[in-house]
Amino acid sequence: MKDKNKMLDYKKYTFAYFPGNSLFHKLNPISKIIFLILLTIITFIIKSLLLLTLLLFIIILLTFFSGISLKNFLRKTRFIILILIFSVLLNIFFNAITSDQDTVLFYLFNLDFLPIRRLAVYYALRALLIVLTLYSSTFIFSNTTSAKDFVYSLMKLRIPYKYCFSFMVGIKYIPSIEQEAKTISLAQRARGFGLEKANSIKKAYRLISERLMSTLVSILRKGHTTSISMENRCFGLYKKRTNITEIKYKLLDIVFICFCIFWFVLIILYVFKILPIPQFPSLYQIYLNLF
Amino acid sequence: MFFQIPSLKTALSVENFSFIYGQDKKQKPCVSNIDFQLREGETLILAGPSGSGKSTLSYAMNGIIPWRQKGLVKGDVKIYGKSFWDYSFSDLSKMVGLVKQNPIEQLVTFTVRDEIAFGLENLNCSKQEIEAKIEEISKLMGLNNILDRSVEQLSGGQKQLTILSSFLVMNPKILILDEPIAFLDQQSESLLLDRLKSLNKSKEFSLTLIIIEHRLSRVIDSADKLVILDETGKIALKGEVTDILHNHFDELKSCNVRVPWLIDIFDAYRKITKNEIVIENSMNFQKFFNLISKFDENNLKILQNIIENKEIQTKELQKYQELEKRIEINETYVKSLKSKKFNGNEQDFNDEISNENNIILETKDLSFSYPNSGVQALKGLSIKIQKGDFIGLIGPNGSGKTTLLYLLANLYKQTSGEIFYQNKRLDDTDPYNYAKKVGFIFQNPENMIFKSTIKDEILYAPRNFGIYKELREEYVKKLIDLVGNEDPLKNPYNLSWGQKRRLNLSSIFIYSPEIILLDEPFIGQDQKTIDSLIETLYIENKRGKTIIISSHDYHLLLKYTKRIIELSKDGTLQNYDTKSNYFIKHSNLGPITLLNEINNKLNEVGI
Repeated sequence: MKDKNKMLDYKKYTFAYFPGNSLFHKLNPISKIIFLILLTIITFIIKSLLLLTLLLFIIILLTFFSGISLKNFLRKTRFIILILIFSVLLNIFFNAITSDQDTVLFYLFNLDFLPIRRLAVYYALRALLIVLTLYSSTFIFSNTTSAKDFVYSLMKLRIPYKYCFSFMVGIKYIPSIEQEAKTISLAQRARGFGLEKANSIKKAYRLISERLMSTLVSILRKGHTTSISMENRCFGLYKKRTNITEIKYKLLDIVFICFCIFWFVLIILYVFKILPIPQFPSLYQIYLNLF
Repeated sequence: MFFQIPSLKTALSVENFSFIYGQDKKQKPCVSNIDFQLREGETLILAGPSGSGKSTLSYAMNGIIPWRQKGLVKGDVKIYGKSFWDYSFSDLSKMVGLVKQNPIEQLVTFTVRDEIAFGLENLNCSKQEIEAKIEEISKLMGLNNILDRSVEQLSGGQKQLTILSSFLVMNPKILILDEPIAFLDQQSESLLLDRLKSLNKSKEFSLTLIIIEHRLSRVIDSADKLVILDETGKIALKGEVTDILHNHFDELKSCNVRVPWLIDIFDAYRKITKNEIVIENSMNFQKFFNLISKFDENNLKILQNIIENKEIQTKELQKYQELEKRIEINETYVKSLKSKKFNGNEQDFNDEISNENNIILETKDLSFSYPNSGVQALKGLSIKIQKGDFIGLIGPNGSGKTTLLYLLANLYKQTSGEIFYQNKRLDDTDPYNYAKKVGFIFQNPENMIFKSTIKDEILYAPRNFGIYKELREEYVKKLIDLVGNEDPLKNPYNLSWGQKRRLNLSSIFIYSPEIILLDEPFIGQDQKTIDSLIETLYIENKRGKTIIISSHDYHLLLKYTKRIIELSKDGTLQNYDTKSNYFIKHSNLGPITLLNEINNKLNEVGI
């Protein structure tokens, strides 16, 4: 039973709560949601790659500031970095081949059919920076916010409590469903299936379909019991319900939100060139200056 | 001495109630013509085989039927004199609470406090009111010190108590507990049952309790009434507990429920001596000793005979005679069994454990930690298991029973230490070949069902092992028959819970493994399935298979197994001994204790 009943294990799951006492842990989840929303808007508005890089750098610094170790961060980021590198290469080559209007920076390996074009590189790098920034900020949010606080803050945001509880029960079930799926795969192995690696598509399909069917049946049964148990305790009887757990706003939250809004406005003003501050040079200009 | 006048209010009245799932009138009713009454404050035990409609009946009492479950209803269920048709679903939910078997599936929040508050929050009570009620109920249930603890950190018993409290706090009139101790270990079980007893005594609640449980021995001491359903969903036996124990004990025993064995012994004694001794439903060792302290030498000898013959020998022999008729066992073998005394073959066994050639599995300093959490489930376990042994694996939740079985089945890899199969390191054995030697039964029967017909399911392993063509048709047919009288093309998911368990057995017997490992196979199974399961295993053991079975139901294990492995809470080996030695070490257990006590008494009178 030791491994059956645990909460989402932060060492195992990328977006699981990491207990701690940092500034981000102390903040109200709603403040963090506001931070996330403002950050998302900003990342899509910023055109300058250098500014985006600076923003990403700040977010990664905040990650460490929120008590998450570099090792932990890198371990959970390496998979997405691999996918991103792959997507950057695809973006560069496909955009470069399809858009022949754009300036060619250089030809890869001096081959005429492998042009590297200016906008292709720009979009590929911008997509990379946006995804990494949003990933890292979501990482901070999920690693510093317990599921309980998150669900109760959703209720505070007036999202109907039935949806919030569905989410909560879902989160609570992840380890138990995972355990069940694992047991089912052991049951397959115990009777001789899956001992050798799936070496044909048919075998792989069988392996997954059998496992899925059995897991699904088990989830449905558990779900049925849970719903009966909730309904028996009058869940969903009234439109509103009392919540004894209350997510409170502290001074820290107000200061944090003001700080976020201040920087949000400042960056907007800067990006739209309202503030008389010199703009970041574009990477293209830097590239041209090199030659 | 003054006695309190019992309440005369009828809390629950089930009147000629029948229910059919779906809209087809021709279909067989799930429960039919159920009729019984329960007064306020009484405790009822509802028992019966799986599929007899116990859960359906509990749904009818708390409003899921007729308000949430579609079907055809006949008769009526009245709560405090008012028909369930006259209540809304929410009113019935408030009045009748239903606690199910598995606490993990019922906990929906994160802390004990939130869980207890859950119902009251849904009822829109004020925060002050909720806090006051939480305090009151948590004190009563002994949860007041762990209110802010995460529900994941609780023991099984505490989890079940939390669920129970979350219903009690809503102040229900009737509380239904559907096999509340099925998933609990010994310690948690006692915790829950003790609290239930104190709750029963607490007059401020005047709570009417309905406990669905086939192991009567666990719950009968606090019960007033008993209703037992049969396989067709009709009442097989009903009445006051004391009346049934005195006047209808044989009928009770024929109902496939587990009767308290102390009472069983006294019933036999009463029949032989025609002595009108009073049997209480709360018979325990202390009461037993008090009672026999007045016995003379003759009566003590009769009792001794009953325990020796009836409880141990005769029953086993009777069982073999029955099995002999049904299954081909070598006749001479049965004869040799009959000639042996109770501990006879066990004693042979005991000697053989030193014989190195007979060791089938051996662990040396075996440890296992879970890779992510780092929690150590097993620590330095060194045991030798001999061929043909029948071992019961016991220990509290989290003591590593399942882990040990997984390691022995080569489904997990140990963190340190070694496992040897027939003196060869398991790591050097081909996993594919080793899998053929081991049959594993998982806790949930559905976790090991992968195919859409019974026949395919049974042939699943032979097809994987490539031995499909070697199988004789009659052998496959015999194993299909073990499931029950079912069409081989039927979908296994449509079988009853007990049949699914038997299908699991068939699907491993088909490749005739040498070692059979079973992880909590009795959970959720009725007494009949448990009996047939243990009988089948018994025969397989006599055919030379090595069986290791983990269970919380240690009374059952102590009765049937030859040896006991007991793991402690921290995953170390606490005990590994023959059953009789285990009895002697734990002198509060089993018939041996009674025999010792009787022998002492006989010694006192100079025999």
